[in-house]
Amino acid sequence: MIKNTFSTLVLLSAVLLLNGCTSSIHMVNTDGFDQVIPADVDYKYVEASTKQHVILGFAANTNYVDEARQSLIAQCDGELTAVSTQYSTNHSFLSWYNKILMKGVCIE
Amino acid sequence: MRKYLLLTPILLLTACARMDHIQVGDIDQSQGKLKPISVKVSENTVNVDTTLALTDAVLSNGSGSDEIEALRTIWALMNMGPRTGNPVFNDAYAQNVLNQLHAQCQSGKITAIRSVREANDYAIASGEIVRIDADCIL
Amino acid sequence: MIRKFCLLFIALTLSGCVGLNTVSMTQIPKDKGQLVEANAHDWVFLNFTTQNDFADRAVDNLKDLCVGGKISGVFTKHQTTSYFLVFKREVIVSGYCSLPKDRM
Repeated sequence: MIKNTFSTLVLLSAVLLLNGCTSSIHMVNTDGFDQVIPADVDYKYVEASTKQHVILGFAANTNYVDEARQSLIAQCDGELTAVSTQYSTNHSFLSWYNKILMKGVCIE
Repeated sequence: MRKYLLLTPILLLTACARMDHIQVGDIDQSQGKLKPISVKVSENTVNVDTTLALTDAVLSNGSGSDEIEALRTIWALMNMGPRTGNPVFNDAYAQNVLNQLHAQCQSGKITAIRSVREANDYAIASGEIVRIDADCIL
Repeated sequence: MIRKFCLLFIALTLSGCVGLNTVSMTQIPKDKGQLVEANAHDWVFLNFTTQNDFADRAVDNLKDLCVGGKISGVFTKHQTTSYFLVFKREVIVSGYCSLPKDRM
Protein backbone atom coordinates (compact mmCIF):
# COMPACT_ATOMS: atom_id res chain seq x y z
CA MET A 1 0.00 0.00 0.00
CA ILE A 2 2.77 2.43 1.04
CA LYS A 3 4.86 1.35 -1.93
CA ASN A 4 1.96 1.99 -4.33
CA THR A 5 1.34 5.46 -2.89
CA PHE A 6 5.05 6.27 -3.13
CA SER A 7 5.18 5.08 -6.74
CA THR A 8 2.13 7.16 -7.62
CA LEU A 9 3.68 10.24 -6.01
CA VAL A 10 6.96 9.73 -7.86
CA LEU A 11 5.20 9.30 -11.18
CA LEU A 12 2.95 12.30 -10.56
CA SER A 13 5.98 14.46 -9.74
CA ALA A 14 7.65 13.17 -12.88
CA VAL A 15 4.65 14.18 -14.98
CA LEU A 16 4.79 17.70 -13.56
CA LEU A 17 8.57 18.11 -13.60
CA LEU A 18 9.53 16.45 -16.87
CA ASN A 19 7.09 18.25 -19.13
CA GLY A 20 8.84 20.04 -21.97
CA CYS A 21 12.18 20.66 -20.36
CA THR A 22 14.46 19.64 -23.21
CA SER A 23 15.51 21.20 -26.48
CA SER A 24 17.60 20.23 -29.45
CA ILE A 25 19.60 22.51 -31.72
CA HIS A 26 19.64 21.00 -35.19
CA MET A 27 21.83 23.49 -37.01
CA VAL A 28 23.39 26.92 -36.87
CA ASN A 29 24.40 28.40 -40.20
CA THR A 30 26.27 31.64 -40.85
CA ASP A 31 26.91 33.29 -44.19
CA GLY A 32 27.34 36.61 -45.92
CA PHE A 33 30.51 37.93 -44.30
CA ASP A 34 31.95 39.04 -47.63
CA GLN A 35 31.82 42.76 -47.03
CA VAL A 36 34.17 45.08 -45.18
CA ILE A 37 32.36 47.26 -42.67
CA PRO A 38 34.01 50.71 -42.91
CA ALA A 39 35.22 52.11 -39.59
CA ASP A 40 33.18 55.32 -39.85
CA VAL A 41 29.88 53.58 -40.65
CA ASP A 42 27.29 52.69 -37.99
CA TYR A 43 26.13 49.14 -37.71
CA LYS A 44 23.87 47.25 -35.34
CA TYR A 45 22.95 43.64 -34.65
CA VAL A 46 19.35 42.73 -35.50
CA GLU A 47 17.54 39.53 -34.63
CA ALA A 48 14.20 37.85 -35.25
CA SER A 49 12.69 34.74 -33.76
CA THR A 50 9.58 32.76 -34.69
CA LYS A 51 8.20 29.39 -33.69
CA GLN A 52 5.67 26.81 -34.80
CA HIS A 53 3.62 24.53 -32.54
CA VAL A 54 3.45 21.01 -33.96
CA ILE A 55 1.11 18.42 -32.44
CA LEU A 56 2.03 14.78 -33.07
CA GLY A 57 4.00 15.74 -36.16
CA PHE A 58 1.11 17.32 -38.05
CA ALA A 59 2.48 20.51 -39.60
CA ALA A 60 0.87 22.02 -42.68
CA ASN A 61 3.55 24.53 -43.62
CA THR A 62 6.88 26.09 -42.73
CA ASN A 63 5.71 29.71 -42.95
CA TYR A 64 7.28 30.54 -39.59
CA VAL A 65 10.68 30.45 -41.29
CA ASP A 66 9.57 33.04 -43.85
CA GLU A 67 8.10 35.17 -41.05
CA ALA A 68 11.48 35.24 -39.28
CA ARG A 69 13.14 36.32 -42.52
CA GLN A 70 10.56 39.07 -43.13
CA SER A 71 10.89 40.28 -39.54
CA LEU A 72 14.68 40.46 -39.81
CA ILE A 73 14.55 42.36 -43.10
CA ALA A 74 11.95 44.78 -41.67
CA GLN A 75 14.34 45.76 -38.88
CA CYS A 76 17.05 46.95 -41.25
CA ASP A 77 16.73 49.93 -43.58
CA GLY A 78 20.30 49.57 -44.78
CA GLU A 79 22.29 46.56 -45.87
CA LEU A 80 21.76 43.30 -44.01
CA THR A 81 24.88 41.18 -43.91
CA ALA A 82 26.46 38.35 -41.87
CA VAL A 83 23.21 36.48 -41.30
CA SER A 84 23.14 33.53 -38.93
CA THR A 85 20.25 31.07 -38.76
CA GLN A 86 19.58 28.71 -35.87
CA TYR A 87 17.00 25.94 -36.18
CA SER A 88 15.98 24.22 -32.95
CA THR A 89 13.11 22.33 -31.32
CA ASN A 90 11.65 22.68 -27.83
CA HIS A 91 10.13 19.33 -26.80
CA SER A 92 6.78 19.02 -25.03
CA PHE A 93 3.88 16.66 -24.25
CA LEU A 94 2.92 14.89 -27.50
CA SER A 95 3.90 18.06 -29.29
CA TRP A 96 6.83 20.38 -29.83
CA TYR A 97 7.83 23.87 -30.92
CA ASN A 98 10.07 24.34 -33.93
CA LYS A 99 12.04 27.56 -33.55
CA ILE A 100 14.00 29.75 -35.94
CA LEU A 101 16.38 32.42 -34.66
CA MET A 102 17.91 34.72 -37.26
CA LYS A 103 20.54 37.33 -36.50
CA GLY A 104 22.40 39.69 -38.73
CA VAL A 105 24.53 42.83 -38.93
CA CYS A 106 22.66 45.85 -40.28
CA ILE A 107 24.87 48.51 -41.90
CA GLU A 108 23.00 51.83 -41.90
CA MET B 1 24.61 -7.40 -11.27
CA ARG B 2 28.41 -7.43 -11.39
CA LYS B 3 28.52 -7.29 -15.16
CA TYR B 4 26.33 -4.16 -15.18
CA LEU B 5 28.58 -2.52 -12.59
CA LEU B 6 31.58 -3.33 -14.77
CA LEU B 7 29.81 -2.01 -17.83
CA THR B 8 29.03 1.39 -16.27
CA PRO B 9 32.62 2.74 -16.01
CA ILE B 10 33.36 1.46 -19.50
CA LEU B 11 30.36 3.36 -20.86
CA LEU B 12 31.28 6.47 -18.90
CA LEU B 13 34.90 6.45 -20.04
CA THR B 14 34.08 6.04 -23.71
CA ALA B 15 34.11 9.50 -25.21
CA CYS B 16 33.01 9.28 -28.79
CA ALA B 17 32.94 12.13 -31.27
CA ARG B 18 29.73 12.42 -33.24
CA MET B 19 29.14 14.59 -36.29
CA ASP B 20 25.57 15.50 -37.20
CA HIS B 21 25.86 18.28 -39.71
CA ILE B 22 28.51 20.18 -41.67
CA GLN B 23 28.10 23.01 -44.14
CA VAL B 24 30.95 24.70 -46.00
CA GLY B 25 30.54 28.21 -47.43
CA ASP B 26 32.33 29.96 -50.30
CA ILE B 27 36.13 30.08 -50.01
CA ASP B 28 37.79 33.29 -51.17
CA GLN B 29 41.59 33.13 -51.24
CA SER B 30 41.98 35.96 -53.75
CA GLN B 31 41.65 39.00 -51.49
CA GLY B 32 44.59 38.69 -49.14
CA LYS B 33 46.03 36.68 -46.31
CA LEU B 34 43.71 34.49 -44.26
CA LYS B 35 43.68 34.06 -40.50
CA PRO B 36 41.83 31.04 -39.07
CA ILE B 37 39.14 31.95 -36.55
CA SER B 38 36.79 29.71 -34.62
CA VAL B 39 33.82 29.83 -32.28
CA LYS B 40 32.83 26.76 -30.30
CA VAL B 41 29.93 26.62 -27.85
CA SER B 42 28.73 23.52 -26.08
CA GLU B 43 26.11 22.42 -23.63
CA ASN B 44 26.45 19.38 -21.40
CA THR B 45 23.46 17.12 -21.14
CA VAL B 46 22.34 13.72 -19.91
CA ASN B 47 20.66 11.03 -21.97
CA VAL B 48 17.80 10.53 -19.53
CA ASP B 49 16.34 7.48 -21.24
CA THR B 50 19.67 5.60 -21.25
CA THR B 51 20.29 6.63 -17.63
CA LEU B 52 16.89 5.30 -16.58
CA ALA B 53 17.44 2.07 -18.51
CA LEU B 54 20.85 1.61 -16.88
CA THR B 55 19.43 2.36 -13.43
CA ASP B 56 16.68 -0.13 -14.09
CA ALA B 57 19.19 -2.81 -15.13
CA VAL B 58 21.41 -2.22 -12.10
CA LEU B 59 18.68 -1.91 -9.45
CA SER B 60 16.42 -4.70 -10.57
CA ASN B 61 19.19 -6.99 -11.83
CA GLY B 62 17.88 -6.96 -15.37
CA SER B 63 14.33 -8.08 -14.51
CA GLY B 64 12.88 -4.59 -15.08
CA SER B 65 10.99 -2.33 -12.72
CA ASP B 66 7.46 -1.13 -13.53
CA GLU B 67 8.09 2.30 -11.99
CA ILE B 68 11.18 2.99 -14.06
CA GLU B 69 9.48 1.70 -17.19
CA ALA B 70 6.61 4.12 -16.44
CA LEU B 71 9.10 6.97 -15.92
CA ARG B 72 10.73 6.21 -19.26
CA THR B 73 7.33 6.31 -20.97
CA ILE B 74 6.43 9.59 -19.26
CA TRP B 75 9.80 11.05 -20.25
CA ALA B 76 9.28 10.02 -23.88
CA LEU B 77 5.75 11.45 -24.01
CA MET B 78 6.61 14.69 -22.22
CA ASN B 79 9.61 15.49 -24.38
CA MET B 80 8.46 14.56 -27.83
CA GLY B 81 9.83 16.08 -30.99
CA PRO B 82 12.62 15.92 -33.56
CA ARG B 83 16.10 15.85 -32.09
CA THR B 84 19.68 16.12 -33.21
CA GLY B 85 21.88 14.32 -30.73
CA ASN B 86 20.83 14.29 -27.08
CA PRO B 87 18.30 16.95 -26.08
CA VAL B 88 19.70 19.73 -23.89
CA PHE B 89 18.12 21.61 -20.99
CA ASN B 90 19.04 25.07 -22.30
CA ASP B 91 18.53 26.09 -25.91
CA ALA B 92 20.23 29.49 -25.63
CA TYR B 93 23.82 28.29 -25.65
CA ALA B 94 24.40 28.99 -29.34
CA GLN B 95 22.69 32.36 -29.54
CA ASN B 96 25.82 34.49 -29.65
CA VAL B 97 27.99 32.69 -32.19
CA LEU B 98 27.48 35.46 -34.76
CA ASN B 99 28.68 38.18 -32.36
CA GLN B 100 31.65 36.07 -31.24
CA LEU B 101 32.69 35.28 -34.82
CA HIS B 102 32.37 38.90 -35.87
CA ALA B 103 34.41 40.05 -32.87
CA GLN B 104 37.35 37.88 -33.95
CA CYS B 105 37.69 39.52 -37.37
CA GLN B 106 38.29 43.27 -37.38
CA SER B 107 38.00 43.63 -41.15
CA GLY B 108 34.54 42.03 -41.05
CA LYS B 109 35.43 39.99 -44.13
CA ILE B 110 35.09 36.32 -43.33
CA THR B 111 35.33 33.46 -45.78
CA ALA B 112 35.39 29.64 -45.82
CA ILE B 113 32.77 29.39 -43.07
CA ARG B 114 32.34 25.82 -41.81
CA SER B 115 29.25 25.34 -39.66
CA VAL B 116 29.57 22.10 -37.73
CA ARG B 117 27.03 20.50 -35.40
CA GLU B 118 28.84 17.78 -33.45
CA ALA B 119 29.10 16.26 -29.97
CA ASN B 120 31.28 14.46 -27.51
CA ASP B 121 29.25 11.45 -26.51
CA TYR B 122 29.87 9.67 -23.20
CA ALA B 123 27.03 7.10 -23.53
CA ILE B 124 24.76 8.48 -20.80
CA ALA B 125 25.97 12.07 -21.09
CA SER B 126 27.18 14.25 -23.91
CA GLY B 127 28.51 17.68 -24.76
CA GLU B 128 26.39 19.01 -27.62
CA ILE B 129 28.58 21.31 -29.71
CA VAL B 130 28.02 24.05 -32.26
CA ARG B 131 31.31 25.00 -33.92
CA ILE B 132 31.88 27.67 -36.55
CA ASP B 133 35.33 27.64 -38.16
CA ALA B 134 36.22 30.29 -40.70
CA ASP B 135 39.02 32.38 -42.18
CA CYS B 136 39.27 36.13 -41.63
CA ILE B 137 40.53 38.07 -44.66
CA LEU B 138 43.21 40.41 -43.28
CA MET C 1 25.21 -23.86 -38.35
CA ILE C 2 22.34 -22.54 -40.50
CA ARG C 3 21.83 -19.71 -37.99
CA LYS C 4 25.49 -18.67 -38.25
CA PHE C 5 25.29 -18.81 -42.02
CA CYS C 6 22.16 -16.62 -41.99
CA LEU C 7 23.81 -14.06 -39.71
CA LEU C 8 26.90 -13.94 -41.93
CA PHE C 9 24.71 -13.61 -45.01
CA ILE C 10 22.78 -10.69 -43.46
CA ALA C 11 26.03 -9.00 -42.33
CA LEU C 12 27.55 -9.30 -45.80
CA THR C 13 24.33 -8.18 -47.52
CA LEU C 14 24.09 -5.03 -45.44
CA SER C 15 27.80 -4.31 -45.83
CA GLY C 16 28.65 -1.25 -47.90
CA CYS C 17 25.29 0.50 -47.49
CA VAL C 18 25.70 4.24 -47.61
CA GLY C 19 23.60 6.78 -45.78
CA LEU C 20 23.47 10.52 -46.42
CA ASN C 21 23.90 12.62 -43.28
CA THR C 22 23.69 16.14 -44.70
CA VAL C 23 23.95 17.98 -47.97
CA SER C 24 24.23 21.70 -48.66
CA MET C 25 25.13 24.11 -51.44
CA THR C 26 25.94 27.80 -51.69
CA GLN C 27 25.14 30.28 -54.44
CA ILE C 28 26.55 29.47 -57.89
CA PRO C 29 27.86 32.49 -59.86
CA LYS C 30 27.30 33.07 -63.57
CA ASP C 31 31.00 32.80 -64.39
CA LYS C 32 31.59 29.48 -62.80
CA GLY C 33 35.27 28.79 -63.37
CA GLN C 34 36.80 25.37 -63.03
CA LEU C 35 35.16 22.62 -60.99
CA VAL C 36 37.37 21.44 -58.13
CA GLU C 37 36.56 18.59 -55.78
CA ALA C 38 38.13 17.23 -52.63
CA ASN C 39 37.17 14.70 -50.04
CA ALA C 40 38.37 13.27 -46.79
CA HIS C 41 37.30 10.30 -44.73
CA ASP C 42 38.03 8.31 -41.65
CA TRP C 43 37.27 4.78 -40.52
CA VAL C 44 35.63 4.09 -37.20
CA PHE C 45 34.97 0.84 -35.40
CA LEU C 46 31.42 0.69 -33.99
CA ASN C 47 31.32 4.50 -34.18
CA PHE C 48 34.00 4.79 -31.48
CA THR C 49 36.02 7.85 -32.37
CA THR C 50 37.28 10.87 -30.48
CA GLN C 51 37.59 13.47 -33.24
CA ASN C 52 36.00 14.90 -36.36
CA ASP C 53 39.20 16.30 -37.89
CA PHE C 54 38.65 14.59 -41.23
CA ALA C 55 36.10 17.29 -42.14
CA ASP C 56 38.75 20.01 -41.79
CA ARG C 57 41.07 18.02 -44.06
CA ALA C 58 38.44 18.06 -46.83
CA VAL C 59 38.27 21.87 -46.71
CA ASP C 60 42.07 22.18 -46.65
CA ASN C 61 42.32 19.87 -49.66
CA LEU C 62 39.78 21.98 -51.55
CA LYS C 63 41.65 25.19 -50.70
CA ASP C 64 44.86 23.69 -52.07
CA LEU C 65 43.16 23.20 -55.42
CA CYS C 66 42.38 26.91 -55.79
CA VAL C 67 45.26 28.82 -54.21
CA GLY C 68 44.76 32.57 -54.68
CA GLY C 69 41.29 32.13 -56.15
CA LYS C 70 37.68 32.17 -55.02
CA ILE C 71 35.67 28.97 -54.67
CA SER C 72 31.92 29.50 -54.94
CA GLY C 73 28.92 27.23 -55.37
CA VAL C 74 30.37 25.01 -52.67
CA PHE C 75 28.56 21.69 -52.52
CA THR C 76 29.04 19.71 -49.31
CA LYS C 77 28.05 16.09 -48.84
CA HIS C 78 28.47 14.25 -45.55
CA GLN C 79 27.86 10.52 -45.80
CA THR C 80 28.50 7.35 -43.83
CA THR C 81 29.12 3.95 -45.37
CA SER C 82 28.39 0.99 -43.11
CA TYR C 83 30.48 -2.14 -43.31
CA PHE C 84 30.46 -5.05 -40.90
CA LEU C 85 31.10 -3.39 -37.49
CA VAL C 86 33.09 -0.66 -39.25
CA PHE C 87 31.92 2.70 -40.61
CA LYS C 88 33.49 5.01 -43.16
CA ARG C 89 32.63 8.65 -42.48
CA GLU C 90 33.22 10.89 -45.47
CA VAL C 91 32.93 14.55 -46.38
CA ILE C 92 32.96 15.43 -50.07
CA VAL C 93 33.22 19.10 -51.04
CA SER C 94 33.29 20.59 -54.49
CA GLY C 95 33.01 24.07 -55.95
CA TYR C 96 33.86 26.33 -58.84
CA CYS C 97 37.31 27.90 -58.67
CA SER C 98 37.57 31.37 -60.12
CA LEU C 99 41.15 32.64 -60.35
CA PRO C 100 42.04 36.33 -60.78
CA LYS C 101 42.79 37.16 -64.43
CA ASP C 102 46.50 37.71 -63.79
CA ARG C 103 46.84 34.15 -62.42
CA MET C 104 45.00 32.34 -65.21
